Amino acid sequence: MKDTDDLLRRHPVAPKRQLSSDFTNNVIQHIEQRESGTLLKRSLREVHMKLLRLPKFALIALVILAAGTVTTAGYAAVNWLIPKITVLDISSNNDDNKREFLMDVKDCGVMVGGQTADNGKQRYEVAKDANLTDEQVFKVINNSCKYQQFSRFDPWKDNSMPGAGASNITNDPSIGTITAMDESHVTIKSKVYQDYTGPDSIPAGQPVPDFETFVTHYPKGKELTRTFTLSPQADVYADGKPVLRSELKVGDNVYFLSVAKSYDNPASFGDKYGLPTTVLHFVKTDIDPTYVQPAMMGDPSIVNAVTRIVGCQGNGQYLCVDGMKMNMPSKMVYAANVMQDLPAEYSDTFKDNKKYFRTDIDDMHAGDKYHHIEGRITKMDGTHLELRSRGKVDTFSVTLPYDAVKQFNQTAKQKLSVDDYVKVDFYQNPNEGLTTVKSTDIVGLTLLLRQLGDGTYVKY
Amino acid sequence: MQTVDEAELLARTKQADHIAYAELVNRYKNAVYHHCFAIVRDEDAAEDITQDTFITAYYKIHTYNPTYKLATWLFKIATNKALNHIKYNARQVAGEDDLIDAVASDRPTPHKLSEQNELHEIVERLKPQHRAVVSLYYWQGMSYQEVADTMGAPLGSVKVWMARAKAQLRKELS
Repeated sequence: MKDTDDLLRRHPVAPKRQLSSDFTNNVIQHIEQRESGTLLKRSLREVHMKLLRLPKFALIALVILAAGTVTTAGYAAVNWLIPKITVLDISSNNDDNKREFLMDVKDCGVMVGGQTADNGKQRYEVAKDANLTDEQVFKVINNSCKYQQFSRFDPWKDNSMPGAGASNITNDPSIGTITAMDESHVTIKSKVYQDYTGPDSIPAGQPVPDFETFVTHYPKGKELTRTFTLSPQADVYADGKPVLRSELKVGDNVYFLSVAKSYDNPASFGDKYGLPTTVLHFVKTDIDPTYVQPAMMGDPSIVNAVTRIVGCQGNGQYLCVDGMKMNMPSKMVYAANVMQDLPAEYSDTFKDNKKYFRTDIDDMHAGDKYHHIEGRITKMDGTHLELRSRGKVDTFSVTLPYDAVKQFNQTAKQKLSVDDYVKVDFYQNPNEGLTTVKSTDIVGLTLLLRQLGDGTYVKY
Repeated sequence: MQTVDEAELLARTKQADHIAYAELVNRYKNAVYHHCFAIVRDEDAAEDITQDTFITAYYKIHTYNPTYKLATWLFKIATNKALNHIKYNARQVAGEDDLIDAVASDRPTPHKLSEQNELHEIVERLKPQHRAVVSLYYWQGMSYQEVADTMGAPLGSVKVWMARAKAQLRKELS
């Protein structure tokens, strides 16, 4: 008898064709397109047609079996600190000609997954054309700090929430206003946190309607008034601590965590359908959703206009910018680790079927330091560009391995030009000058953008 | 040698750094693609599922629990998608179980095939769930516990699936 262990180890099943050379680029482009909202423009009809091809799944409300009392003795308690933000100084014209806020922050930001909250002095800058009052800027920063505290619920969502870990259980954190409630249901007006497709509504006490009959597409950001089942164990929090449920009232502004059974849409990989149906947690909050990241809840024209100024990675004396939460939109001009089309005039130097791809970039720089630098382009000529750094002001000389800017500008909506704000990722050989980035050192060149209220992007 | 460690790439990806994420994609794409192919046995579908896996992973990167290996998490997403793909396509033709049984019973016993081809033909006739377990354990080098984490199944179930897969292999090879 043959040894199956040995046979299986010696003969792995493998595809004859390798992944297409553009694979990584396609993934990144898809992400960039989705972030720019183009994928959200899928027509409702298309969604309907895809769903009609599905078997008849009914939306199944998540059944919470535990019969808890209407007190704080529900799910495992989550506590957190309330951030305190103080304005120390406002300057009208910083080194990038923007209004800058110097703030003293306390307990701002996430404190899970090994990350720590921000404490101490923080700098923020405001887009020149954003037209925000100082009070609005303060609200964006203050609300962002407060909202990030809700990530305290993440470990609970991952590990202890009913259905945690199951791929078909999704949670939906939102901020909204309670418009009606009783012992078993709550009605909340809020924006949808992520794309969903599901029934228009589920009548209280009625069986879940047939999916195909009642299907409606809810794009993220759409404001809805929805009635949820109230989990008997649902906790209510205020000021970072559990409080009695009786403190929750109609008219309260709440951060609420709801769950749903959801399904991958097999006709369109990555799409989910299903709707959150049961509320698990409430947090009474004074956060105005207009001023909250992620931008699908807030107003992008406001929240994306404020960015944090931080030390660049590996280059603390230089300054870079960071989104208030995670949305610092950008467009990749060049990346060594992504397969790119070469301009026509390049022949044999780098090409592999007119493609450029450095698989050896990390190996070449074993032991070298990895850096980011940001600044405005002061000079650009073919494969060479210069940029002026922030914080410590230096002129960085950057050489690309081919004319990636020309290639980028052929198709990009936002063409790269002098005075644009860019980020450069590179390796530094300790024996060479930091401000010279050779073609063999550069890992990436990225144009930083800002999303406006209408979903379009402008250069940062 | 990889000079930028995975934790740093993950941290940068969480800050929406596409270049860092591209590096993570490069590191895992071939392994994920091979695993998807082992389950769905169709190169185009395997590539689509691999791409979808990395897009999904990017948007869910904040849910990744670093106590598990990143590979385990990626393979979990990929395995779910690959098995869903098979389920959906099976439903399009007949019923899932009908199709799998039909494939298993209709194929002629291979003769004069090379050892590798013979093995691969038999693996193709395994249930998709069993193929996934075989791929993760034998070809992705995971332990049984890692396979269980990836499949989102109890360790005992994984061992049962593996035993059934090997029993079928032994039976058809003999």
